[in-house]
Amino acid sequence: MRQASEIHPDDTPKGVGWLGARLGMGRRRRAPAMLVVPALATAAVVNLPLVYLGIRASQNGFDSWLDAVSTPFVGGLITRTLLLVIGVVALAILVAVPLAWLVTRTDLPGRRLWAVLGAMPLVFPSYVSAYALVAVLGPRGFAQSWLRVERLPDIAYGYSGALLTLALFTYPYIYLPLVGTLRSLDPALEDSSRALGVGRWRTFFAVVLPQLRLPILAGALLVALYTLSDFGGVAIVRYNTFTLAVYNAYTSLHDRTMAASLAVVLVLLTLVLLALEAFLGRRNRPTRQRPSRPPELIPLGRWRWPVLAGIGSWSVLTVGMPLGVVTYWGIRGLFAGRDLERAGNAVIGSLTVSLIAAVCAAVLALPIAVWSVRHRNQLSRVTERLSYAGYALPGLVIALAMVFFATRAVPMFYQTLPILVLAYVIRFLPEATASTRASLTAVAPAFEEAARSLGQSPWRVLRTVTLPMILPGITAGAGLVFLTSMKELPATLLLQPTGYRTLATDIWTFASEGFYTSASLPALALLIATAPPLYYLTIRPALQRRTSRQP
Amino acid sequence: MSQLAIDNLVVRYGAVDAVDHVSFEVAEGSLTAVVGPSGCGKTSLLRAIAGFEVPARGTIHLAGELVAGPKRWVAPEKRRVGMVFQQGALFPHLTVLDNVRYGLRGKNVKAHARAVLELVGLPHHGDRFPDELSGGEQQRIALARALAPAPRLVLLDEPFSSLDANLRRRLRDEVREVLRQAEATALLVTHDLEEALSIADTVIVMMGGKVLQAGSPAMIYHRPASLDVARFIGDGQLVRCNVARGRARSLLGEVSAAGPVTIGDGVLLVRPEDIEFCVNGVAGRPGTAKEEVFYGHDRIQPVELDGGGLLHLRLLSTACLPKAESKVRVRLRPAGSYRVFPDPADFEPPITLLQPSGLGSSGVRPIEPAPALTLPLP
Repeated sequence: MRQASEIHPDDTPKGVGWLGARLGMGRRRRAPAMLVVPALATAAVVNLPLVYLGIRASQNGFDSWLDAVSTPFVGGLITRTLLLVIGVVALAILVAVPLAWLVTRTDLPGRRLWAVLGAMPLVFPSYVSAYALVAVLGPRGFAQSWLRVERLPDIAYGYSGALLTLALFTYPYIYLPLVGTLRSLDPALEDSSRALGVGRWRTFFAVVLPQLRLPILAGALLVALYTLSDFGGVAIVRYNTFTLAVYNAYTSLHDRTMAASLAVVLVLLTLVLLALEAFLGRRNRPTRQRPSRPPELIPLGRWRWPVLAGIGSWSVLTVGMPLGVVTYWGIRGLFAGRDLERAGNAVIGSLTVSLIAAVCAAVLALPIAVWSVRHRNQLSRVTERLSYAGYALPGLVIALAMVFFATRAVPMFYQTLPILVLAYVIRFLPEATASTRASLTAVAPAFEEAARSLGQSPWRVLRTVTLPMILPGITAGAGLVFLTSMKELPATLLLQPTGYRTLATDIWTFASEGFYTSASLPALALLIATAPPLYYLTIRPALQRRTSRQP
Repeated sequence: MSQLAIDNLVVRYGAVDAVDHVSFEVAEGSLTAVVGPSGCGKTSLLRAIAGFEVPARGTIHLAGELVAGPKRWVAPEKRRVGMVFQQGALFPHLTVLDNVRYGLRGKNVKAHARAVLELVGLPHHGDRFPDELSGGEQQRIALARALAPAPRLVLLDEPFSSLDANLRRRLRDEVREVLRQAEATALLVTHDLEEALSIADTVIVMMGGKVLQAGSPAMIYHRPASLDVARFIGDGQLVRCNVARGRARSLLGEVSAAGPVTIGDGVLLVRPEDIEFCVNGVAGRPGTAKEEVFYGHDRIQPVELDGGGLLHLRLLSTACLPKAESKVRVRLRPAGSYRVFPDPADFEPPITLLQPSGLGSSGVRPIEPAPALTLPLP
């Protein structure tokens, strides 16, 4: 045993300077440039088009922007958009809360099936559901011919149409987290309430419901964000919100400055909701306890059959109707030999561009994910946040920003495949990042440290240990990017090369013109290609998740 | 020559020195255990040696080579240090054999890996995947993987803590044997005092980032350098005494005193096995036997002294027991010498039971009164 008395001068190793120390580089291993440089570059590219949008909107100065957007027309747009957001959120909550409670806490026959069916509307793109709604309730629709009436009240179009389309198909954003929360709540809480002499119903309102408040609020904000940014659905039912106005200003009026000015207002509205969400996210702490046992099921008694009938017709409306419409018209179209070649081209077009986007997103997400998980510091955190910009903002805004970026910065790429791929990557990169991140967090650093100790360089460790271990996460992320790219509408509409066919744009074009048969074939193809994997990648894990799951 | 030499090492997190000017050496072929309560800096020390933390100050030499110092920092993969993690950290996507040969390069890699598997007693497990192995097998494979490239030093980070008590004891002996056969130098980190005392050639007690004592297991147990170490070991009691001319006089009799206090008042460190009953005699201190606590191989007999003070005696399970509430006489075993420390601030005369400060599962726990039931006010 040696007790050395000599003390070395304090020396930060390897010359990490003040900035390096600030960025957390002094401690542990520094993040290699191999990670930092691509991550920073990706975050920059994701935000570049938004910069162009800002430039375009502020071209004539702040005052002229203010003039352009403080008109009665814009005021009306804001009112109409907000009315829709409020209506959709309210309706979605009214549907989601009882549904989630019924499938988790009662002895409803076939609970599991209803639980899955309740989430299924997530697989339909809004333009497909709007198309189904119009095809059933619109003029010349199913309902009219079945009921043999001259003319139905006009509910498929305008506010009621948009409200129905969006509420029916966004309520799962509230429903899914609610199911998770209801399943992971400790039944001991309710037991203690009952033991204290409080009845079943009062216990629900006094103990259970307060714990659902935050998930409901968080889900409601997601629904609001979705409503604000939806374009395909409102366009088909012709309800003039911000997204539709931006699109019309750009395509019909050829007023790019107006489109940019309106888009900036839409961005501001979105930012308000995002700020609210960030505030809520800080307060929303999931309980980390594993429930001791499944909750006690409440017998429905004589309500059983009415409830079953209600929930059944609800599923017919939300799942059966779009599926039925698409299948019915699709089969008719097939027999008529209609547009098969065109639909085939669209399938190939959609698959190609989505596949390329998925691979690009998975590759670009990797450095961001590794950096932000393994070398957590301020710079990596900010970079990761920045890479989410394209995901958080409405797709139409990103599409418009890409148009400005492409025409100004890289005109030779405007309306070419690379720009479309870039748009998809910008919009959906965070799906890949989040999935890669999650699997990376589940891999303890000890695995990598063990490999380093065995004499392998960081690069080899990444290749031989980290990558194989997180491959399922990377694949799932890429799959999600692929599926959402298949469904993507606004960027595809504005950026696809002339003559290039995709499923999304074909459905939208035909459906908004009322050609139900022509729209049905690509819609059928899209649903067949995306619905089953979407179920496996998003709905099933969400339904099975317990808040307390440990890696 | 020492295989590992740490000199004045400081590992800093923000304003906290997790490792605070630590110096020690590990002899070639020996097994050293660093033991201390959670958060004492032992894991930071281990990670600095492996190269996963950059020390703020001080030097680390491995087999004479400087691997961390003011002007030098060698990457983990260049240190030739094997590491065994708490949960094994076996690569789940590789077979056992591929795990073991992961750190090997060159010819005959497979044969060598098989030889190491044989060394740890699992020669037929090469084709399995880690999730098909039991916890104990996983740790043995982790050891095999760390030993395969013939590292200059093997670091073991709480390698047994995820196993149940019986398996832990068995695996401990096996690991010690394997390390000896491989002639490896090893440094083990644990919060379990019993583990450290039973497995290591040298034990280093760490607390608050500092080394409190280093020495053989027997020395740590019988001759703790300070009251802090004695408290960490936690077994026994402090008895007030007065020291003069090498003899310590206390209410339990006169015994030979072995520092650090050599004259004047102090407290004697008395282990439960240091006290004996005086049968049939008038010698010793009178007291009342209380209800015993049974531990299997031995038991603890509390004795309340007449005039105040509670003592703990350790008796073998087979020994005769006094009846509860019967009168007994006790004294210190006259043979052997006892440590005398300065009077601590929290000493409650005449006798203070030592509460273990660590989480260690050392065989004997002092009796703790049941916590009073408290109801929160509505």
